[in-house]
Amino acid sequence: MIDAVVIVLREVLEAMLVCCVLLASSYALGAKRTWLLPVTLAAVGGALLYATNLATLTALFDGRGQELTNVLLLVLTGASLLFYLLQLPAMLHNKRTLGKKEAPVTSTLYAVLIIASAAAMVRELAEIFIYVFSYGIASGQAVPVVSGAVIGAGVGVSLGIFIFFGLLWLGKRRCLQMSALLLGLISAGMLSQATRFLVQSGFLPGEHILWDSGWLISESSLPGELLHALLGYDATPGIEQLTVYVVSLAFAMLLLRKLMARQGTDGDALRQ
Amino acid sequence: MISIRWFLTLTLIALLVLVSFLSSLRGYRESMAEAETLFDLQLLEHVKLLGLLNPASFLFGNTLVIADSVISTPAELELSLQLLVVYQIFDNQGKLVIRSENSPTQNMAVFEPGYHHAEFNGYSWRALVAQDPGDGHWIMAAQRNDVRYRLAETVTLQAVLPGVIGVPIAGVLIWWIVGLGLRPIQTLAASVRAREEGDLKAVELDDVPRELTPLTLSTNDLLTRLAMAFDREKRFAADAAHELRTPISVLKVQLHNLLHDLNTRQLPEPVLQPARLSLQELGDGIDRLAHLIEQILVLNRTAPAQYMRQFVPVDLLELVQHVVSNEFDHFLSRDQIFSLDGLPVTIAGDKTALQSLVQNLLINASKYTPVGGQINVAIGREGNKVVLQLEDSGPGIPEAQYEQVFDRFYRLSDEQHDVAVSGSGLGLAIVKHIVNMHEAEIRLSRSPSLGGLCVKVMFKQYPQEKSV
Repeated sequence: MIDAVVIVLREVLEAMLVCCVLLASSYALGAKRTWLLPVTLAAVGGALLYATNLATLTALFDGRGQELTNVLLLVLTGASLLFYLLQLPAMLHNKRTLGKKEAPVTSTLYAVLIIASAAAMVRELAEIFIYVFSYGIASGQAVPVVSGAVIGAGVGVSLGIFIFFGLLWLGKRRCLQMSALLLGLISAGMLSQATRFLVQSGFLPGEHILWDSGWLISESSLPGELLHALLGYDATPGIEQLTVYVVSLAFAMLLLRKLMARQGTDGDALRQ
Repeated sequence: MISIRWFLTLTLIALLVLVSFLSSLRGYRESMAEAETLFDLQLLEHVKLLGLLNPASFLFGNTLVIADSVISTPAELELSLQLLVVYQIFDNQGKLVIRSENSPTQNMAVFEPGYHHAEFNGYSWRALVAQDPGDGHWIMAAQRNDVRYRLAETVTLQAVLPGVIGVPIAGVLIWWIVGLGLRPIQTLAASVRAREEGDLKAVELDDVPRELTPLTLSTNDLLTRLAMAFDREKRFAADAAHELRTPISVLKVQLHNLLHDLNTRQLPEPVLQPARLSLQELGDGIDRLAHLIEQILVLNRTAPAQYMRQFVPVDLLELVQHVVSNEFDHFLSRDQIFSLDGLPVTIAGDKTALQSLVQNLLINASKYTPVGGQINVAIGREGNKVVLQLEDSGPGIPEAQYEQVFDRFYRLSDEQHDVAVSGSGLGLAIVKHIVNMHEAEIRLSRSPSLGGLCVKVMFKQYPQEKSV
């Protein structure tokens, strides 16, 4: 049961972090919550599709299909998050020029929110489905594995709820800044993770491992898992991974700076 | 801002889940450790029991089959086989003397007293090794680790599961209780919302919880100030209009006297003529002023926020006929053709206000329709609405100004609308107010038949007429 708790908690926490930070950020912008329904449908549908076709997926591209699917989902999430951050200053500008209380949320932004959250959830949900089915239901361990999965998911979702309300508690202005910072870190982590998958599947060279900090923080420990979810922590990063991480993080921080500058010039921009 | 109910429900459930699940996990680990100790004790008891036997009487290959006689179902047999403690007894030279059926022929664990991990028969085992202090023979007993773990987990899960299943039930209860706790806010909001438009009485404080008292008090304070402001405004307009009537009447009388005085004096015609003309214009001015004051009075009386609704069934056709007969001089003086079509229809409304509405629309039409022009009035039904329609052959109103013409003191001034046409600029504002008061609708358009303005007022049908 403990294994089920740890595995499911790890997956749920990763997905919840992206979704809850995006939800808080979009809430501060004044977006409606209608995008949550398509996200849920797309995520559950996508995850079921992924889990039931795992064998076919794995067989693609000389047995590297699963890695490539993961890369696709990670890049989709990371790039959507960066695109979302890119849109934020423009949204505030529109708000100011139109003189409305809330920033007008465009359909493009809703689409980005849906894509980022759904892509982040598909992989994690699929892993949970596969684990619960193969280690639980199919091996006669349904009760302990399902109980563990429920506990792990419950703890993960609860933490997500606290992250969401914690961000909202900061007030709209700081919520936007803090969520932009978190989204920047998450997207950089996801893009570097995608690079790692590409290296693992042989699409990128990556012979050079920069360091091994496994002795300090093991990837499988709880702090390691949390750092992995939040910062994309890797105990043995390659040079490509680090480059992608630094470049995407620098880009995200540039966008954050732009957002803060925009908030600064607008006297009452989303100030609570 | 997120709803209080959602915030409380979600955070309370999240807190409950975190506390209960994390304590369940803690309980699970503790229980598993306890179960391990119990199984170890069971092994120890086996070893102690085996120690009581006399090794000299052992026969190699004997197995105990007593248990089989009390086992009835195959599932119990399976469990008993899995639970079975396997054992080996060696003499002090390390030679196997006796062993249970499913134990290996080699020693299961090292010859060293204590608990050990062992691997045989394709499973991992927990083994206890003991040496007899008397003759030094060795006793080894072992249990399968996976069986011990599964059994311990089955027992422990029985304690954890109710907590996991209970959380959704607790969630529903939290949702319901939070809603119950927030009900006074909804009740307060509903009582404020359900008030009549003009009701500015203070909110009752009897059933208001302590937390909402400051809010209720400040709302009451606001309502009092609002009522006072409304009252002041109402009094001011009414007093001003009323007080102005008297000097205007005096002015009229004085003007009449002046004209009479002028006519009785034997003045030459060239002197008299300009004086008469000036006095005529002065009279017109006084009339316009009087009209303006009357309109302000009507507007004040019919403002929806202050109007006490006293609706009665009104026959719209009859009402229009009445107003037309009063105002027919207008049409005659301008040589205008007037037509009225329609059947008797009843609406619920205030008679005086409706008369004012029809009068204002008719006078407006007559004023802006050229001499010899045409005005059509029609009364009918459209779906479940009663429609009053006025069309004229005047210049109409540009579409862009359809909204603005209902503003107070708004006057149309373009080449087609003669600025010299007398009017207070309040007529259509009054019409709009009366329309709002009756929860009716007013639409302006271009008349397809006459080319001028077409005004359409759509009233709700009188409730008793709906079935007709």
